[in-house]
Amino acid sequence: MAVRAQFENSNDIGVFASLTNAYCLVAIGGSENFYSAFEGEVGDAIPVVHASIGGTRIVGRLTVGNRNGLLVPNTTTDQELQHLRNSLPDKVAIQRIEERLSALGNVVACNDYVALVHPDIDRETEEIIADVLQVEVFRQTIAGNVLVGSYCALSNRGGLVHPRTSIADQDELSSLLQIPLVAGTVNRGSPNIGGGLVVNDFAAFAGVDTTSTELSVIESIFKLQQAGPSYVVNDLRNQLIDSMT
Amino acid sequence: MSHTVASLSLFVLGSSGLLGSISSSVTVDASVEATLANSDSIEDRTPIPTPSETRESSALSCSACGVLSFETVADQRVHFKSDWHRFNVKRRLKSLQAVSEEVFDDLSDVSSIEGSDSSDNEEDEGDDFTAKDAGQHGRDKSHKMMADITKSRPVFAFPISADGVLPSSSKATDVTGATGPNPTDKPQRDRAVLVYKCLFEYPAPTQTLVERLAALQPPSKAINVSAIATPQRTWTIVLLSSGHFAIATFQLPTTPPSPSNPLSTKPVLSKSFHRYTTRRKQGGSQSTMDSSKGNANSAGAGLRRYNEKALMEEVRGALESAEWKKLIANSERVFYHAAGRGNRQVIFGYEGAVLKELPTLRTLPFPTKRPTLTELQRIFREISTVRVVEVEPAKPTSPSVAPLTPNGAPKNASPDKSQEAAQAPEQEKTLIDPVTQAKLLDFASRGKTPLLTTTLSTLLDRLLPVHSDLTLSALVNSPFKIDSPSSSSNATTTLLHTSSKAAHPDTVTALLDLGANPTKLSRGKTPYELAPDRPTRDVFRRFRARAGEPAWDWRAARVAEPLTPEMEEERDKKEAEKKKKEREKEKARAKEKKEREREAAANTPPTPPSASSKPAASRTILAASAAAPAVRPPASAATEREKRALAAEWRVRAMTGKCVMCGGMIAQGRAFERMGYKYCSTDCVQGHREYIG
Repeated sequence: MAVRAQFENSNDIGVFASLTNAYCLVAIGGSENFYSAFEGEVGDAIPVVHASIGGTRIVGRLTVGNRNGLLVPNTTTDQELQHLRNSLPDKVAIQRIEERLSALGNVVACNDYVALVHPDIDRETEEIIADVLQVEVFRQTIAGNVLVGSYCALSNRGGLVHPRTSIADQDELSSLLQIPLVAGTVNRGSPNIGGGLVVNDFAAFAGVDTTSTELSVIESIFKLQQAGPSYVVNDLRNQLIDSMT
Repeated sequence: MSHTVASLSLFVLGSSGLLGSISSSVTVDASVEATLANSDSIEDRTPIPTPSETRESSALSCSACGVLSFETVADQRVHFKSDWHRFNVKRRLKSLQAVSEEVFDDLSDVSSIEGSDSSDNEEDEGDDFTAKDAGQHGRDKSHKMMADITKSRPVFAFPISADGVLPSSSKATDVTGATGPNPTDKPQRDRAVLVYKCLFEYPAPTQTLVERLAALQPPSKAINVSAIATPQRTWTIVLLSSGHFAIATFQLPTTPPSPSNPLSTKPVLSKSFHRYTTRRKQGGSQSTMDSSKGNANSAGAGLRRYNEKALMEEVRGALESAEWKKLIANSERVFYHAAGRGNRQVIFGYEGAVLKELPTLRTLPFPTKRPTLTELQRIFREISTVRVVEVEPAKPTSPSVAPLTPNGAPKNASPDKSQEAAQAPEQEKTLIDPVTQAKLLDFASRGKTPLLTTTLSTLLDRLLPVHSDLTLSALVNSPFKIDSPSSSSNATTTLLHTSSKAAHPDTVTALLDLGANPTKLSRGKTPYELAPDRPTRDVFRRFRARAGEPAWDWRAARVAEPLTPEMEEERDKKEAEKKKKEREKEKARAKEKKEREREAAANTPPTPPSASSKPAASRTILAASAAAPAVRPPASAATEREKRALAAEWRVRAMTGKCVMCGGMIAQGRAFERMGYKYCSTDCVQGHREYIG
């Protein structure tokens, strides 16, 4: 189910939150509305954790993670690291990375099996990513952009990429990642997919400006739909029939 | 033209019978290498079949590399992780054409893939042969030149007789996977086997090169039985560059590799690691940067500095560890490549370094890529590969050798001096023994004129009984070999060149008087051109004036116009005049300055400037308020009482809305304000400021 949310009047919720199949990080905000949106939707499945990285709230852009681990930049303080360790499940490995390109969320895009990374990333970082997140790492660009994390959102079921990604590139990436991909936008036409959308295998959150068309694309590519034909055929019929009897 | 006929493993030489056909009588160094015209044959690469151009529309492709349809996803993934792909991804970002795999393989610098653009691969000068190869395509140049170039190549060429047993090309190619042109297609020509020099033992033992080559072969079957007890023969390769370190020990095969039993490049033991030490984008190592521009304070700089230190400790730790120490000590050869002083320092620059003064240590004679295990394996394969090349039949070398008598003496009256200089006889080299040569050059460079002349004359006395027509001038003009390590081996110099370059006018004069030829060239320069300062150059010009135009071909000597005593006198006079003028000018300037200062001192009265330019009203008020009407002492000098009185007055004026300084009325909205005081004009502002200090 895709949900619209906003963080203190900002639509770029991907900046302030990071969502994986094992945990969810949200920024420490002025109000609890943002947190509540996540808690309400995924709180019963995974822990939703308030976090800051190096004293900033842009946790979504500075960190990258999946079911297996979480990578944080070297700006993360020891206290923050300790808090994350305390809050996240034990099977999630946490690693601080000494990398020049410190906005890890922008330079890495990953699901539980593969990661696309910035072509200039350090070789050691690449190895750490492969080890901690247990993924295959590919240096790639998306539509000529090196910031792969900013311009795509991946889950294990599908991926949304920059609207200018050519069909050939989409095919290639999709065969590389072994998931279906679609080029699309969020937040009423924004190509900053990573900024406007956080997604895991069972939930997606997009900025409040996201149109219903965009939302339906998101739901269908990430297989979150409950409004698709199968839903009508199965669930809706059950309900209807339920109510009629 | 010579080209590679086949390339095969070093270790099959013995078994293939090729070793036997190598004619051991030929001296390897000069005569063969002179005939090896085309040295790029060394670099001959086997063309890798290009993938079919038809690109399937399936997604199993790679658009960055502009090619390919992969068989499976696994293949595609492997490709996407390859350096080649990464390189092309970066090229695509810069809107550059993708490079093919072959081209990429040829690029020695792959470090840019990683973002570290630095590649301080300074090759040792003598070893860097690819660069020389690149400039070597002008094959129509004289034979001699080619000989010069091939001389500095890192290979020995062993000529094999034309009917020598050459392994059939198919067999050879099977061993190495290389394909050479089929030799049977062509008429038989001279062939040679090229083997890297670094494989041989340095302090040349009494064995011939061929024997030493044979010693490198795996033991023959007969010995093999007993060889079980003999220790394994191993080679170790060490690479260190831009933060990457790799070391591996390879075992040499005990039997000649064959198609069924290819050369194993599996290392006995290997180790490689990397630390982030190079400055991305800017290039170079952090320590180089620190020493040239001072410590940078950025976080990255600190990180790299730390990593450099850590890398050094790790590398030394690895080299000093017991297992590696043993392997290195037992290795038959240790090859290394550590570009730059910093890297060499890491390996050698500590007390008791393992690799220091190791008799088996060799540098690698070709460029290497980023130190990795695969690169080490490639190096092992490359270095143990010998190439069979076809060579041009040797042309008769140089017009018939001149008789052994020296004839370089300038006959002072003869006009064709330059011609004579051009064919300076090589034999003269043999007349003066190297020790004396070095002595003479030393005297010339240090300007020891008397020592030089006496040594020359004693030398002449000694040689005269043997060479009756030898003259002193011939000795003076004899070419000296430059034996500095950096120079190419056959550059020569003369005493005149040396003394002129070292700027010793007296020695130059003496040598010219002895009949030294100023038209001789050393590295394309005449002695005059080497003179670094005017006095030395003047010596040549003076000599030109003294000896006269016909003595030498002065144009060929590139000496400026003659300098006669009159001209010199005139020049001195001119210079003296100029100096005098300058001095006068300087004096006048100093005087003027003094004058100005005095004037300035006179113009500035000890009173504040406002006092004189104050309006009449203010003057009356000042007179009323202070004791001294015209010359008012500065506020600091005023007595305490006066100050208080003045302050009271200002307060009153301020309250009544009048100008604090002069007490005049201030027009509505026209007040000048400063520090809470109001003034009627800027003059008052200035004046008051001086008052209150």
